[in-house]
Amino acid sequence: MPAKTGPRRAGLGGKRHRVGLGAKLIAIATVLIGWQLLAMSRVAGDSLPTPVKVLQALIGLWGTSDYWTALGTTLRAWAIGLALCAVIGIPVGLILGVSMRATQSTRWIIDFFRTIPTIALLPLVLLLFGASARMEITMIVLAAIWPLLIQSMYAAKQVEPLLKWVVRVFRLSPLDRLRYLWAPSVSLFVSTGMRLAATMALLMAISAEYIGGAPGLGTELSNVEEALRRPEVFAYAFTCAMLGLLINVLVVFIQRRLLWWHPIIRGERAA
Amino acid sequence: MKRLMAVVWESWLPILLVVLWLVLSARSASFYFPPLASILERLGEEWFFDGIVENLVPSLLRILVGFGLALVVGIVVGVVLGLLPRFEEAIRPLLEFLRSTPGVALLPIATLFLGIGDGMKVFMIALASMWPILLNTIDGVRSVEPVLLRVASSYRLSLKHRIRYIYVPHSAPQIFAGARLSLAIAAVVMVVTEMIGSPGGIGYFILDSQRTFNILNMWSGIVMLGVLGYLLNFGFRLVEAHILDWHIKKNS
Amino acid sequence: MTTTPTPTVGKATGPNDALLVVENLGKSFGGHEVLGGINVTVRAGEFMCIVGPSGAGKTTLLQCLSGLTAPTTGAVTLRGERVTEPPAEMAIVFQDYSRSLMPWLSVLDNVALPLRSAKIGKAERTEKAMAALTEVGLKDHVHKYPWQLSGGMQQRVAIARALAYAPSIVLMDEPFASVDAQTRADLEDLTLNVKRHLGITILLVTHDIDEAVYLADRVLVMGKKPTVVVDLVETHLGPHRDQIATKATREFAELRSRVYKQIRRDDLTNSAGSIAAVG
Repeated sequence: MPAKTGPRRAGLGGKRHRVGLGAKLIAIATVLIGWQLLAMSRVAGDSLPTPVKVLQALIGLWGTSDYWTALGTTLRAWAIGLALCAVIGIPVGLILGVSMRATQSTRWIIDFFRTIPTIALLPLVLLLFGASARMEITMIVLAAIWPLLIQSMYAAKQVEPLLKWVVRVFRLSPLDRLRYLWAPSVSLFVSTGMRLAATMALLMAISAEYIGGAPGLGTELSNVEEALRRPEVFAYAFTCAMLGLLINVLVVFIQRRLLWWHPIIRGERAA
Repeated sequence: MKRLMAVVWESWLPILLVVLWLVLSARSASFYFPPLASILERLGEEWFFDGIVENLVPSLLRILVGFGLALVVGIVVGVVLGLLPRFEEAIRPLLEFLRSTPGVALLPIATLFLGIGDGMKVFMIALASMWPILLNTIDGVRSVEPVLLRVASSYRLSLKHRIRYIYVPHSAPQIFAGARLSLAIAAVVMVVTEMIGSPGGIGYFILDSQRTFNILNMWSGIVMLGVLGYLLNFGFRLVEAHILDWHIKKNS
Repeated sequence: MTTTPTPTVGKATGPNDALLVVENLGKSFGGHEVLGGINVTVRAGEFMCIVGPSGAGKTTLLQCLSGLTAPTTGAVTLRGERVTEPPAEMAIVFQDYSRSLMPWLSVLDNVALPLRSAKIGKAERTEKAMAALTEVGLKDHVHKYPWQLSGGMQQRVAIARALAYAPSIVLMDEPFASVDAQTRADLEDLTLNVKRHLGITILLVTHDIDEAVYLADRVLVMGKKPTVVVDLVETHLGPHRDQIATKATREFAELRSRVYKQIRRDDLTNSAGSIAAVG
């Protein structure tokens, strides 16, 4: 779709805020109070701990070194796995995207790997590496590299053809073309790929720990579950959820800082 | 001729890789990587047709029901939230929180209430895969051309008709984009829930084979799951091409 | 740059000497002929407009002239040198300003970017870019971003970018087709002023006959597909032109109707031909 070319509002774009922080807090409070009442009413039986109990459990866990070690271990595996995905997935994706023949040749393979749930390889990887960080990182790379690779391929394909002509007309050096045309052009799609990969990597990290037994939050979750410590189960699940949210917020924040000039980020064009 | 060339270009590498796998693994003595020929042989014995009835069909049913639920709930709730922008913005932090939660972390909680049977599996598939559909539906409804809405109100279209003929068709491309991601998530969650759950299902079959060191069975399960994933995606594409016919034509 | 066997090198080219020579230029896409053997010589320092009906392959012609696309037959030479890639002394202004400017660079950086290829220091780059932006009247908007400006102003940025590059010839591909009528008149006059001021050669493609006659020293009239040269008209309207006075003169009206008739006639014979072919 061609961009609209009329005069644009100067200044910072972004979405208008319809409701204030108050409404959001009320919404969160409503859910928490509803949960508390549900837990106390014993409709759910003994199995549902109240949010107060969960919070107490969480604060209790904060005092233990197990909690922080698990959190650190998971984050470390996640970061290493994601970095490996970026180092391999982005360049390969861009190269495959630039070449029409390379795109065609790899279409079926990429289609295949992005559709099959890579988690199925967990038993195999577990056999090879045991319940270790290596197993976990291998699983992360196997699963999270695909969205990044595919987004990088799309990124290379949607570089504005007119700008490719502009840099030719003005005879920019290859290095300048890379810096002033390619890098900014592909950054939106690549960063979207990073966002998908970051989410997938966390899911895989926790899956590999929960099912495969590699040390980290997932293993702790499995431990407290077996010990029937329900408030702690909720506290660990909450930790994983917060981690997911923080990762998402962080990536979106970086995306906005980096791509403030982009029509989609400015909110002038639909994605 | 042109089409033939395209097919050749698309197929040479996959064929080469399969042949390489076949040849290189032919004399493999490795415990972990048995010859592909043996895997395929086992595939025939194990899956046709007892395994299909015992393990493939249950998996397929779970993912179809779970994903179907995610679609229905995601679209309905998405349209409602899309039409109530102030309410949606108020609960946005909660939506973001639920969306970012790695589905596996909710497994212990789900098993607590629903056990390890089919109910829990379908529920987890639906819950984890609903978010991309829901959020994309909201965005789609939100981005309907104001002109189209003015036309609708000038013709006095009822809300029901506006949803049926404007909001949903307009959001369809975005809903499908979300649903594609959802399908991938649903497949992961299906396998994970089967791995921790009761017997029956490909995920259980693969993990169980590994635990009993039946490597050929494990590999045959992995190949079968690949086929299932590919078929699901293929079916999804057919439906998409059918429903989004107008959109694809318009953009080409 | 390598020395050429031609006697005129660099700025030694005097007025009315051949600058850009197009010989038997033809272009086909997959057996479909778009340009059918074009011959024309662009003189140094002149303003030439290429006018023709929509879909006449004018843009393809411009791409071949600049070396962005390789022609199927024939050749383009600039000062006797064969054009295969965009030459250093040529700049292009594209029609779609919203896509030809980089949204991630400020107006000043957009204009200064081409100067990086000339290997000059940052201070000098900024100075030259500022001079070009002043020339097009955008001195006060240099730190804004292209998408914060109106369409007409964005096209001015694109023109400034071409000027800062200090070319001896500028190709313009329907540069005013996407702006409103008033802005269009302003930009036409701006282009005339810049041309007079800097003494560069301009080759402008348009589908608008009035615009072509108003701007050009010579108008190259193109026919329908496969595109060939139908006529080459000298305007003799003088160096100073005015949107109202010039367009009200009898010469202007005569030139206008001459070009119009050429295009019409070609249109009619073509459609007559196709009718005959059907019958």
